[in-house]
Amino acid sequence: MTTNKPASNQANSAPTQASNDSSEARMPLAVDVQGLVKCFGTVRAVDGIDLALRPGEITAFLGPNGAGKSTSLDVILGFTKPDAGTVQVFGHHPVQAARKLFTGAILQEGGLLPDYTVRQTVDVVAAMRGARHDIPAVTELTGLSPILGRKVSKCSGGERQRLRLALALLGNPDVLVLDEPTAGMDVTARRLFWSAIRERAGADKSVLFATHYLQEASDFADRIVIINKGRIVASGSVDEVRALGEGTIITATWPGLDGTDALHQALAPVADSILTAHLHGEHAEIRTTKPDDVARLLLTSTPTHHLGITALSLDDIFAELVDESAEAGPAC
Amino acid sequence: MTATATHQATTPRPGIKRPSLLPYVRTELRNSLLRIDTIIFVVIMPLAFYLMFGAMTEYGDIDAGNGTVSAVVMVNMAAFSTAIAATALSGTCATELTDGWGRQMALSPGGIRSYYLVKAGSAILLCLIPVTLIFAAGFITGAACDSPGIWAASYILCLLPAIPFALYGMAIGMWFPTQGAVGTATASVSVWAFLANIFMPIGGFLFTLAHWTPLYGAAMLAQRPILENMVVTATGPIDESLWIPVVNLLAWTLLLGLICMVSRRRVTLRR
Repeated sequence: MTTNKPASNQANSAPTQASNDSSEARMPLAVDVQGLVKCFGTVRAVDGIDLALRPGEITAFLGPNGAGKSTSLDVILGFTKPDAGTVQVFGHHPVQAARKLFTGAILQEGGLLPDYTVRQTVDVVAAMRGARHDIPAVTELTGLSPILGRKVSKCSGGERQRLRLALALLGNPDVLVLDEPTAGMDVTARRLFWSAIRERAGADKSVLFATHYLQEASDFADRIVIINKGRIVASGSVDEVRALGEGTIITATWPGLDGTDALHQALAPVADSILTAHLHGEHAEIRTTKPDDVARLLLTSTPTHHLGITALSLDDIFAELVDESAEAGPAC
Repeated sequence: MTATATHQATTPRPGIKRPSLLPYVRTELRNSLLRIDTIIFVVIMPLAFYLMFGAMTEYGDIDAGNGTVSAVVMVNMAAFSTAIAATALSGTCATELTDGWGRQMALSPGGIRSYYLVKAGSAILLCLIPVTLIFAAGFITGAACDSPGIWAASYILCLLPAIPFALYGMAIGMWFPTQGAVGTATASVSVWAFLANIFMPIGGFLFTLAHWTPLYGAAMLAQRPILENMVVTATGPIDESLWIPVVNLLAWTLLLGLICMVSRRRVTLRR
């Protein structure tokens, strides 16, 4: 039973949030992507992505629309061939891994037969995957039992998504690839959806999900990989990503200040806490690690008014990272 | 790293039993048969045509080759029903594939090939239903073949149109993957049936044109056990060599198969 998964025990005891991969290089990876490039025409949809998924980890693949998320997932699932780079799922070619049921997936939109009932859909896929014994457990877990007799065309978006999850779980795959799995779900449905995945995935499965909801990534993932324009712009644990946006932002209106240099000069007493300082006309924006000191300085010894202090949100960090990497890659 | 990972993955996975395609075939057949358009187009229409143009006519009992005229009409309508059934089922197949079901199927041990097997198996079983009904109706209403061997050969050859028309439905479904297009494709089989000389004997230019249409070869081959080299046209029976329907069937199968192969990439691409 355990002979095919010697990796799981190691994975459980190993720290999961390390961003330096070299120390874990000896550990078998659930998904190992190296230098992945995929072009559509002259556009590089995916432009050199490295990705290492360890068993037991839930990884969020976060990026705006058109960042290359779905294309990368397609390659991992064996639907598309990469133009360069290698992809291995438990050491297998993606197509072989899919055939051996290492992978289960929730695909974007479609992927269901509208004329079939929920029961028929589960039944047919379970039989094709050789996992009919798994049907009761999976339908119970995904809450499909009450709607088994319903036609797929009559199911709501959330019900269809639960059906897709059931299909993905049949056969107990080791890697779950979920492409925007909770798109269109409300908060409660989303929570139930993830608790079902957590219950089933347990400690030795890995989950890779694409999303453009930052909140979802930070709520449910162990690790976040941020991708934009086909490139990874940041990756690490939720806390590590949060730390990328160190500091607090202080904004103020500062009449008569002449240029960014003058701003820096005025801030000299607290210079060691200043991360960035910008001046847009009369509007100053200062990022600092000691917001109290900076605020006190500004209010007591400068003519600033309309002072504002805001914590940096994950959204700001995301926007910043995505913005910084905005230049386009080379053409194919 | 790769070596250890490979070793780990080659051991059989626990809890996975032999995959089976039978539940899918069963469900597919059941759902197809419950669809009202299948019942009308595949079962009722060809059967009604046989009763009208074969069983209930005065000329039905006239001798024709190794059987009677009504036996020929029976074979014609059975071949027609096969073409319709195959088109309807394979047309939905293309719609399903472009709609993402193909990606779902690819994530199973048999991959997308299993899916094609299921669809082909269901199509043949579905074709057997109207063909059997029409042959039973023919037997009851007095259509006669000279020997059991001719009954059997006719029955089996009536399934021939399934080959080009399964590809026909699939090709149309791949390019126009909507339920409406598939319905139109199914209805268009009637036109091909008319041009295949199986509703009524045609002649002149239409008969010349008929040789180039997709149902002609398969339908004429189905008539062979009874009529042998004879083909009934509007201006009377003529002799036609075996190679003509054979080449027609092979050429259309090849052409439609090629179109499907070329269009296959459209199917697994994400939309």
